[in-house]
Amino acid sequence: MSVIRVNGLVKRYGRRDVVRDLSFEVPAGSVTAFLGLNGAGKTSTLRVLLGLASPTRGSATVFGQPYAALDHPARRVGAVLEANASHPGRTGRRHLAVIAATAGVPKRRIAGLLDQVGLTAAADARVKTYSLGMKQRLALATALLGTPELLILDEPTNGLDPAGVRELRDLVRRHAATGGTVLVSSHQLAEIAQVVDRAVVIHEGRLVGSGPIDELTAGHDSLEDAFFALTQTATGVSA
Amino acid sequence: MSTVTVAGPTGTSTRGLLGAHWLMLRTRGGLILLALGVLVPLAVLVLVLLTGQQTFDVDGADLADPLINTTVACALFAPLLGAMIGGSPFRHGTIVPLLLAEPRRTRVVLAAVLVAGGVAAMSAVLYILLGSAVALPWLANQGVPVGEVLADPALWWRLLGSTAVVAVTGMFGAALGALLRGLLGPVLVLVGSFIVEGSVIAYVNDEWFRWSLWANLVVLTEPTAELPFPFWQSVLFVVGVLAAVVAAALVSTTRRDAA
Repeated sequence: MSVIRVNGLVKRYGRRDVVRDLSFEVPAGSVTAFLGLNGAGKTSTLRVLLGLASPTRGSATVFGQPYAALDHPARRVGAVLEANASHPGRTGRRHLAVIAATAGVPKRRIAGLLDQVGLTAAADARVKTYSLGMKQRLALATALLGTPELLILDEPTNGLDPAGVRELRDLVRRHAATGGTVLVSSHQLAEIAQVVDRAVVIHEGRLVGSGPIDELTAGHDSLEDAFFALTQTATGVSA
Repeated sequence: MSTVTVAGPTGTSTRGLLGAHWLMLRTRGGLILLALGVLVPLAVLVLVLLTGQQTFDVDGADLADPLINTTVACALFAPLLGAMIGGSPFRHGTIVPLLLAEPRRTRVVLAAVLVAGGVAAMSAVLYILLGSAVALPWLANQGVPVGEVLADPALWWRLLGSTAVVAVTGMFGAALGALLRGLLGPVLVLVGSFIVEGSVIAYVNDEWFRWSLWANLVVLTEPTAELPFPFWQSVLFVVGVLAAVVAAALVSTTRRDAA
């Protein structure tokens, strides 16, 4: 069963199509990498998927519905889209309290989540004093507030130190081990290859490869090699 | 990142959304603005009383003048507070986690407008209480029969009207904040409309003041006075303009990409 279904998606900004007739699925219980160069259309696709942007054509659904139609979105989907999505004058704890109140999540969960992402000591400091890595941890705690079944992570390792990257990898593995699904976009191909079992590769808004990681990397030394082979072939085709 | 078990019911609620907007206002900037919205009118009231610019007859309406005129001064800060509530999430990018938690955008905007109206009204009531604590003993000391004056319904109607005006301007600020996605835009629109509207109407034809938002807001503070046009017309006019601005904010927020 597919948890995410993107079908014929087109997203246009002005006269430019940033996503072009994109279709792919993410099966339940999988950890799927969403790969592409800068400007490939990954974030635009995720924004449409999460109801933050409307599709020009086509559809993107989670659990068979548009995101906005989900009854309890925070319990179904947790997403990290950008680290700078918290008010600089608010404390980390207050930021989580705002989102918990909006999502209807009990406030008692906040302390545990702050501990889980290693922000307890900085919980009552203003976000403007946080490093990028700390903001990324706060964004991750926000995504985990509702104990979601599906995690959508856009460049979650940005700004994280090596310990943070390892902790994130463990978290993704634990989430998958308990039956959860993860869609993760990242440029750290060697890092991401350690945790994913599938990949979706896009280039200039178009799908250039998708499937189990073993199939995609067959005939290549690594995921990185497979990625460049796919995107360079696509560039050659489009040229 | 250690393992943590989180369990329990989740689900969005109107009460939760209202609470979230109230929590969002509680930044240093929001609290300073809230305090200024009460303290600046209070300072003006004290100045008015000390400089003796009002004539204090035993008539209730006259006694109410310094208090009511300065209550309307709260309306200078209410749009700023409103714009902060409605526009700040867009300005700081917090609209993304907010809409991920509650994707029904109309609810998010309506909650911002309601909280802005509530907070603005609360600041006006707080000011009236503090202002009364200052003004009434002072007036009693001047020989004004305060007890009789307080029994005059006209005083209470005017204070109620003033509080409503402060609440409405707060709601305007929040709706414009969501529509224009920021803080500066709404303030410029509200201040600009005040200046432009007054100048244009005064230049063209004074009769057109019946179609002035600001003239009609002033009428709301004078429900018992002799008015240039019917009170009910002003109520309808202000409610209509507010509904139009809120509707524009809802349509814009629903149709445009959030970020």
